[in-house]
Amino acid sequence: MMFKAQTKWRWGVAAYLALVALGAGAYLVGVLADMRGPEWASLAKLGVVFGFPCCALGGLVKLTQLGKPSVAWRAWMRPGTSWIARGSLILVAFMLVSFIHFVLWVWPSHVLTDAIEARFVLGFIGGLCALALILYSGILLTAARPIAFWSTAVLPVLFFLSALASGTLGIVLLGILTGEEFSWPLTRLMQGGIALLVFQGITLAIYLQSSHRVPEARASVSLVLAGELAGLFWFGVVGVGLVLPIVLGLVGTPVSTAVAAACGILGSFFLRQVVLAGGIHAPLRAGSFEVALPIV
Amino acid sequence: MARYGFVVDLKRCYGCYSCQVACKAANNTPMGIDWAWCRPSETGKYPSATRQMIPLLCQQCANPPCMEVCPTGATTQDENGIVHVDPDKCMGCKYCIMACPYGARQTVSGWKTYFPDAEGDLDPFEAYAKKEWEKTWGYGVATKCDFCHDRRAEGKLPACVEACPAKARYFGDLDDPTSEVSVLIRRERGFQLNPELGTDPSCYYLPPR
Repeated sequence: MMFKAQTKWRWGVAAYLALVALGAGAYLVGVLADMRGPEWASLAKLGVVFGFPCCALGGLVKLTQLGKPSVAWRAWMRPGTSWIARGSLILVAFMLVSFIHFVLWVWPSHVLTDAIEARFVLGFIGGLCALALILYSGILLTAARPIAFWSTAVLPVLFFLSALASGTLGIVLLGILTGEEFSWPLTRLMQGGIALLVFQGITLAIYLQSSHRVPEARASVSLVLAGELAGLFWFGVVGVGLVLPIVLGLVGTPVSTAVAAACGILGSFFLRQVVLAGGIHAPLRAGSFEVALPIV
Repeated sequence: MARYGFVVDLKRCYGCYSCQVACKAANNTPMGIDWAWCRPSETGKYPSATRQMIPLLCQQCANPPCMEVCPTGATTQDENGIVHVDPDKCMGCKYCIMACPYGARQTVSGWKTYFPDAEGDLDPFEAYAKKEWEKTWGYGVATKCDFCHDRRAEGKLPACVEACPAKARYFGDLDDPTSEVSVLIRRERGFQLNPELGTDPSCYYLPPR
């Protein structure tokens, strides 16, 4: 049977998911770093810098993907059952908290620099929102049950690791670009980013391996590994997103680290695009007959 | 209240596409958009291969996943179990399209003419269809079959049922054990598509020979 991948959620949605993952991941890593001690504060600030603009940009990209953006305000009407509604509420909450955090700590005010307890409380609330946002971006796809490639418990884990990795690398990249001293916290963070990429690679392998049980998921894996999406997967996700950042990151010079971080962030986007574009609906089964869905 | 449902007799369907055309005519759907459609399917291998047409439409699930995932409240289910989309409330996120196992939902980004090479305005029939479509649905929102809500309000059968020359489609109340659809399902062992998904569709299929 000829399976056809869905065509409705592609680059725009992948960009939205990747931006949200970058913003929330960087913020979460930043907040956690801040709680480790004062020597991490300057890097933690960079994480907070990422949160609001990335999510705002992601939200705008998502708006352009809607068929009728004028009704987008209705997006949170059904949080009881819909993950888009829940995600929209979480996104707004996170943007609000991360914006307040940014304004009171980074620019224009520095009130939170000395008010460490207040900063931690705000960071804790924002961190929870960021965590929820990262989890939402994976569960959003998992909830589409007819698409077996998405409807698996491994996908949210993969997206979670990818979000943390891209967030960590985002902080590292911004740190180097803004002239942050190539200090031990930055080196440590890069090492953490590399470790996350390794875990992401292992999880990706598990994800693909576990997807072979259902025929349509097997078709998705074939599409990704050897079909239409093979180029993007091997070059974008594996090459640019995993191998290059790990190798360049281990080299350890500022330039190689910056390139590694940029590649890792780009890889997070490619990963989401491959997962989205590989989504294939289950065929309809009428007795012994099977019919593939028309192009959805 | 009644729970409206369909029965499609696969023994009788020979794939003439009358249902598809009748649906198009009744609902003025644009080119490429079909709320009722037929798909050929094959099973077995030569010399005992069998070809069967499978007519499809929105299954009006009792537990509709499209309604569950709809963030705006645009998708609702009426007291007869029919799932409706309110185009004024739909924002066109397409989540319902991802969640629907039956491929029943489609979006229209703009009107595509059947005669792209023709010069001048649309022909009167197409112009009428476009006007009606824009009046009822517009663009960018999710659209789907509602078992011909407007026709039923006038006491008529859904267009595809009326048009089927093989009498392969039946429409009626699934909750009434004496209705034609209930009797057919019981007597001929009607089955639902992909029951493992737990959507409990209101469309039943009678097995082919």
